[in-house]
Amino acid sequence: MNEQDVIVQQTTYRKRFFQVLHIVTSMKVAMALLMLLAGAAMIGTVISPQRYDIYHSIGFRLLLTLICGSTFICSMKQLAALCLSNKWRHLAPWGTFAVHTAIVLIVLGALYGNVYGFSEEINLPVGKDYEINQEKYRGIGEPFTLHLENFETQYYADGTVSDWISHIRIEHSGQNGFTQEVKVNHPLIYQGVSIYQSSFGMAIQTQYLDAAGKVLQEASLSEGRGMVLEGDMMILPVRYVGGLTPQIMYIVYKGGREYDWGAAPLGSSRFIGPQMGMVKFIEAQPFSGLLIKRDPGIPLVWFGFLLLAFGFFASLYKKQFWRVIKKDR
Amino acid sequence: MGALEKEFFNSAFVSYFLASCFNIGHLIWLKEKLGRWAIALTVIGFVVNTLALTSRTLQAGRIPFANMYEFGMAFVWGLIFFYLYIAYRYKNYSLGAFVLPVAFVLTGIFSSFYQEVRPLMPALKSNWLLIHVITAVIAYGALAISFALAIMYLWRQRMEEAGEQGAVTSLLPSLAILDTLVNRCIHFAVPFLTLLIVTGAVWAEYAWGSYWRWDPKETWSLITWLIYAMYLHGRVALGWRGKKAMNWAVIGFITVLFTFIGVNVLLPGLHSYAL
Repeated sequence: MNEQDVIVQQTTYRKRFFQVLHIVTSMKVAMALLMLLAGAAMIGTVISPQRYDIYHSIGFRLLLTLICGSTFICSMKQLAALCLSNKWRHLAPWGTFAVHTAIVLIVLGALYGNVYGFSEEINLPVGKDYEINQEKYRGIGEPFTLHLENFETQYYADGTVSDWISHIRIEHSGQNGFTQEVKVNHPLIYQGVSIYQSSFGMAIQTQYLDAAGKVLQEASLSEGRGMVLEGDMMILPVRYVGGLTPQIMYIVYKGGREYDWGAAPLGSSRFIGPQMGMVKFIEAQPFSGLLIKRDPGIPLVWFGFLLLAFGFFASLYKKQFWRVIKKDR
Repeated sequence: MGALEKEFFNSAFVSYFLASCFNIGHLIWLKEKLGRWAIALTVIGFVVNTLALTSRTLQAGRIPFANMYEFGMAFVWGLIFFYLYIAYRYKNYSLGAFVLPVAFVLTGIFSSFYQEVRPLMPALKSNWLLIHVITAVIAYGALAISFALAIMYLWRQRMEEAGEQGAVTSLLPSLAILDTLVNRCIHFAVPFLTLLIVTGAVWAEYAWGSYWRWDPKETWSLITWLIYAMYLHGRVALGWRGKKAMNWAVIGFITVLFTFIGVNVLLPGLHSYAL
């Protein structure tokens, strides 16, 4: 093969590359990708996420990546066309460019947040502390402690719930702490970490003992969350009943079926059926379920949202909506 | 007060039903009188709809956007408002034969979700509620109109193809105008549809600690948005006009209805308090 042939060969390769690029970035392919995404999203809402979480599957992520890539190339093409033509004075093409760029930014922001952020739900009993530090969560600067001073439920006059409120004290070594109410729609944001009111309940310290009183198993349970024992058994605290002698109503399951039930005052043990051990509920404390989260991708996503909204209005409101109607009249 | 509000809403339901009948009758028999009755009934329905919303607002002491019934009332109100405005500006009320049946059916569906007035639950106690629901009324209202216009287009086209000259061809706007109007309505709606999702996402970040969780409501709102995104691309880049574009407008609104009502009934998730 002489030099001439090599050059010809290279140009054909280059030509082919651009041909392929042209097809891959064509509108028809983009439309097919959008259609696939809509279809996959639809299927995902029908399948229960416990069975198969389509949105976090590799295929779905690949699809998102492809759409993101296609959108990016498309926006670059728009930018080139804008700069090369005399359309750059018009707002509408900039709007279209903004929309496509915004989509890419939102996806990048989500990805960044996923990789460098965290989100965890904890149950914090009243009066207890929870430390947020670098060992547990990445991206934390100085460690600090959450202290749940109180948890309360507020009601409207008609008895429906108005608010669930956690009174949280932030303690930071070497500094005076402060207390803030955390409720739904009002998260506490401290050092880039957000704390949300998520759930609440009773933390029930539960022991399973043998007939002689030796502790075999111990766990912190809550109403409706049981402890699995040997021999396909489970103890499920069903309800905490307050009053002078607070009691726990419980059900014992064996092989998935109800086997025994009863109510035990806090601190005293109860046999759960013949030739079985005993259950003992040591103490019960109200807890607040808090979502602890840091998402460093949020600023990028929020900026993407703004750009997206601006872009749509700029690109689709280019002409007066009513002009066509007036013309017709 | 509660009974009065229910009466208002039922009266709106009856008015919209009668207005639908008169509107369709007008298209069939071409009697000017029927058309006038249809407009009068629509206006009566709109007035009692407004009264129902007002009494609900007074009774609840807040804007009535907290559940499916309340939002439904607001949505139908917005839809009729859009219709009356377009009809007035355009001096063509034939759109009513297509919008009023939609309003009537939706009123019927929403009345089945009726709930006594209750104070706002914690998740809904947010300033985002107002803006989120207003963008929904605007976006869904305009898309409902685009749907009615697309049906008009498809009907008229069918008549023309069959060579029938009659009420439809004399009263309905031309195919070209209908096509443009459908496009205008969708162009008007899509930025609000986007705002609807964006405000929902930002609110979810404050209320639930995540702006996107692939909750059924979120996912279906994205599907709806993707359908309209495909419509916009098809229109601009692939030259979709006429029947093909109209079919997308129809499919788009069906997904809107599913996102809006179907998801709450069939796919409960975080958003299910809206029922």
